[in-house]
Amino acid sequence: MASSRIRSLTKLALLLGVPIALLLGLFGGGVYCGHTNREAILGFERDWLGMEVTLPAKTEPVKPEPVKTEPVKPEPVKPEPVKPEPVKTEPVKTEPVKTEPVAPVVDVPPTPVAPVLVEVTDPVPVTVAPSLPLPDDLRARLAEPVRVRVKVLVDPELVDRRPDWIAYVQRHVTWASQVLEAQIGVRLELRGVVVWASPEGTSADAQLADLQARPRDGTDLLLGLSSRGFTGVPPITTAPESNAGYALVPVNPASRAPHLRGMLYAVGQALGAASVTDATTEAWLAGSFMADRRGPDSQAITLDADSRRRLLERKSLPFQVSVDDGEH
Amino acid sequence: MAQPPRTANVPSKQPAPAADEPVSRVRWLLGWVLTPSLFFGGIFLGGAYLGANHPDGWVTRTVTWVAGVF
Repeated sequence: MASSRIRSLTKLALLLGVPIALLLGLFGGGVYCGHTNREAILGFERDWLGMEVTLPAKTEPVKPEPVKTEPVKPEPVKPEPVKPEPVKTEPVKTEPVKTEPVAPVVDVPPTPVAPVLVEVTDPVPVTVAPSLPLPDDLRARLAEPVRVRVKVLVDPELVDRRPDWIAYVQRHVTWASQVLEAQIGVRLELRGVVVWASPEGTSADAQLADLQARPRDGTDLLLGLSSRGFTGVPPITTAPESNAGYALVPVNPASRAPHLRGMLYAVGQALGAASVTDATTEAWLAGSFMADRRGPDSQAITLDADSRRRLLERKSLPFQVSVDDGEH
Repeated sequence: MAQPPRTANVPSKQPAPAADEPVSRVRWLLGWVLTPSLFFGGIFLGGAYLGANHPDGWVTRTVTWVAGVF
């Protein structure tokens, strides 16, 4: 009697226990996978689902490496003592103002990657629509060459992911410059690339505020290359008499040129064009780079007529005063 | 004496008409593929979400400890 009771109890325990153990094992496997692939999952949640998540600060220790290479800078300074003649030192002293803007250029090769400043010859890897003809008044504007000196701050996450991050930035700036030159006659000149030691996991607003508090080192525009998508990127407000000096560049991870649309969007915003947010407008549907979305690579990059007019009208305006300019 | 077995009911047990086949296939897919996948996938994804977003919670710590034992 007792043995049959024990047997039935064992059967019952097995009947209930095995399915529960399987379900718990499945859930536990999920927890383990989630824990081990935490960065990838959080990145997916942030970039694709638009969730506000805090990425682990695992990349912190890597940041100082490129910064530590700054001692390379003294090398170009060494030639100065080679000229001990007093007559020659005087003209050198008269040009400190010129050497300061050059300093960020020296910042460009802070990493061991030597052939960084080689000219980019790669064609734009995504389709770019040819620029449409303009009315006479705007055609004259298009013909005015405008040069925008750019310094780029790079998110440490991108630095970790891409060993060729400086060349990556250089390619994107060159491609963006080609598009902008054709559309509005603006040429981007890369003057500096540095790691952006911004507080990790902060919101896009905080990143933009952090960007605005940084010196531009003599450049016109400071671009923060973010690992964030277009969701939540705050709009930039420009004064009527000047262009903005700072902009956040969102990413489209699925693209062959992940930061190209974002960079065009950021430069467009800095030059005073409004973000196209209405998904039903022709500009948005046609793939204007002023649309706040990740355009697929299959869709050509265009620029809607309103934004183009606005950019052409404002491209010659001065850029807002920098933090470091204000100190002088 | 012995009568042959009755076969009058046999035709009624034959397979359903061809028109019902797509319905039964959909039913099979729903019952054996889609619903179990959603159920078990949901449990797994729930665990993955928990592990990624609450790395210091007791559930995650317990699971990592158990995984560390092996």
